[in-house]
Amino acid sequence: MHDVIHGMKVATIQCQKNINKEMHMKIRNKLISLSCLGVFFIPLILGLAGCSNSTVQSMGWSGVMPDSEGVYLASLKGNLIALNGANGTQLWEIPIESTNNSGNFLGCSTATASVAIYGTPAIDEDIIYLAGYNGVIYAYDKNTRLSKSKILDENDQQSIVGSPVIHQGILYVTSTNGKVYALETPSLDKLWEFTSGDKIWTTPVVQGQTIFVGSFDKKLYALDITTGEEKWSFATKGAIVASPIIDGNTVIVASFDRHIYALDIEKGNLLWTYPGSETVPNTPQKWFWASPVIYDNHIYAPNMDGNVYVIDIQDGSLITTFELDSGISSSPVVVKDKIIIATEKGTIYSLQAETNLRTEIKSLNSKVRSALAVMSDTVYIHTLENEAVYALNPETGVVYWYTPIDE
Amino acid sequence: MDIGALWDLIILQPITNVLISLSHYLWGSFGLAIIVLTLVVNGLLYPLTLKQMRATKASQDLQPKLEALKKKHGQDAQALAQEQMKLYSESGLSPAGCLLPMLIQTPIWIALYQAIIRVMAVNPESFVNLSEFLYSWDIVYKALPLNNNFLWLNLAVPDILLAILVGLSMWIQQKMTTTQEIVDPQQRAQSQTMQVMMPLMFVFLSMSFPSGLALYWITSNTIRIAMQYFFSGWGGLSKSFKGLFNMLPARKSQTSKSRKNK
Repeated sequence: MHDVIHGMKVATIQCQKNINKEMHMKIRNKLISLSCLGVFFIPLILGLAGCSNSTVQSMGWSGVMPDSEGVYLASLKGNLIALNGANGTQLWEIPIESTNNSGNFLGCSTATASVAIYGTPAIDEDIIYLAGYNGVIYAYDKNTRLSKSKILDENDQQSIVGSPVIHQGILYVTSTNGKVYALETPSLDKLWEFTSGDKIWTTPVVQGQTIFVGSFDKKLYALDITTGEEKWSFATKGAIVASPIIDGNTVIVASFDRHIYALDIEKGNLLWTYPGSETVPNTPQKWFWASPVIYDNHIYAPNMDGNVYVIDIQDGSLITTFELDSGISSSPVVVKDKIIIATEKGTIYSLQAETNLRTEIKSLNSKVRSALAVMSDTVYIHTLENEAVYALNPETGVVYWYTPIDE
Repeated sequence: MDIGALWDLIILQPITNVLISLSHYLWGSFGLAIIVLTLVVNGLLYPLTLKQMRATKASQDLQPKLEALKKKHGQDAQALAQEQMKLYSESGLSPAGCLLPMLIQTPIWIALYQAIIRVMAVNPESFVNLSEFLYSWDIVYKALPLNNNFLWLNLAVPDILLAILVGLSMWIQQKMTTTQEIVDPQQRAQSQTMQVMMPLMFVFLSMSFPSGLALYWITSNTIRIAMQYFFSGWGGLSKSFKGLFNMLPARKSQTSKSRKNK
């Protein structure tokens, strides 16, 4: 690099010498100097500016949580926002207080001043819980808007990506320090913690007395809900980011290794894998990031390659594949007999395996990564570019209301 | 297809996937993969680097003669220019001799650095974006996510010690490149400012970027220091540390002698 710089200087000087013939050579020399140096510095600056593409800021992609009173989400600017569920008008907005503001030099880093929220808020008895990428759990009273926050682990720098989950008054949170925490509500006092081998981005899933969590250490863990002790674990060949899903006695988990595994819920024994060892056409090409959904014994597994793989839950055989317009990182929802799914490009599809029907119901032309939400047959979508919340009819694609966020 | 997409397809995507695959073969260590890939790229660019070093050295060697011409012709700008042109043509030097190798190398360095940043994918957004860059090779999917721990470092976060080492190694390499005293006070001042400002700039950059990038810069600087040492010895660095370098083998004089003999 310095050789390049020095060579540039010498070349610059040579450029200057070479045009010495004219009386006003000084001005020309300066111009040539700048051009010569520009040859080096322009690509350098452009290259470093590439950090804006390569090192993307943590903005978050909070999902939407609807309830009988409103619709709640965290905005990209770090505000907790409540919208009227009926017409989308904003009820209130609270800035999510940042506990650490660690913006770096040149602003070309992953740190942000506002708090990035990737998970969907959880609501329990009028308290909204948020998990921040700054490693802080926030609790807001819906009525008084009073808040409480707690750093998950004072001694460990960490971030939270998965959604917090409330079950019987206990808040379960996963963290990039590889831990699963059980916190008492509303005090947020820690009841237990479990440590996996690598960071955790999944949203935990509770079923009966077991909590299921996937980790970057490539394992799916089944933990005792009261003690956090490991019941069993199953190793895949890739990191697990998608939340597992449960159907009867079967746990389904999709992995970054581009496979889907069906496990026995009690012991974690492998029941089947898709794709199996035999050569199968249309195998998944990229990661399973979004969580699959189950409807009518069919698993709908969205992949970053832009396909939704529909698999028979009994034996893991491929029933059909739906090809969509771009990758899928947003978890779909089931509405009546259809699967509603959003692609990265912001196109909303309705899928039905039985009739092999794929219907494009709406094009929002804005990136969607947050999990979709459904209540009373209305689907809620949080778009990232031109940030907005949409409430739409999944049958017709009619937008009931649309609210731009933090304009 | 726009130029950005073409750049990604032809240069960035292959480097990214090779980097990930290398990590898999190097015991899952991303740090080792960065070092090895930097070594390989340096090896591939060696002929160009050598050409550039030669051009730099030759143009530096020409400086005393140019200064002598300046003194001789004084105010007669036309005569001075003619003599300078004559000197350049006699020495076979092109004024833009360093530019071509540099123009070829710079995009490769930028691509390497962009690939490292991309592969580290320090937050969920970067990770989703990385997915678009992956080939459907099994090995790539087995290797990811990469282990960011290397020595005492978390390669995904900046490290102050590594940032200082980047600045230091850059300063050493720049000093070594300067083999001739620059006579012109304006040029000397410009050169001295560059020798301080560039390392400082890279220290600040290293403190802002994940330390994986600083590891790449240090590796690259170390290779350049070694290459420069075998090409022209300690250069200007020996003047900065006269006492210390008297104790070290006089590589520069050996090189000069061997050249004279030739």
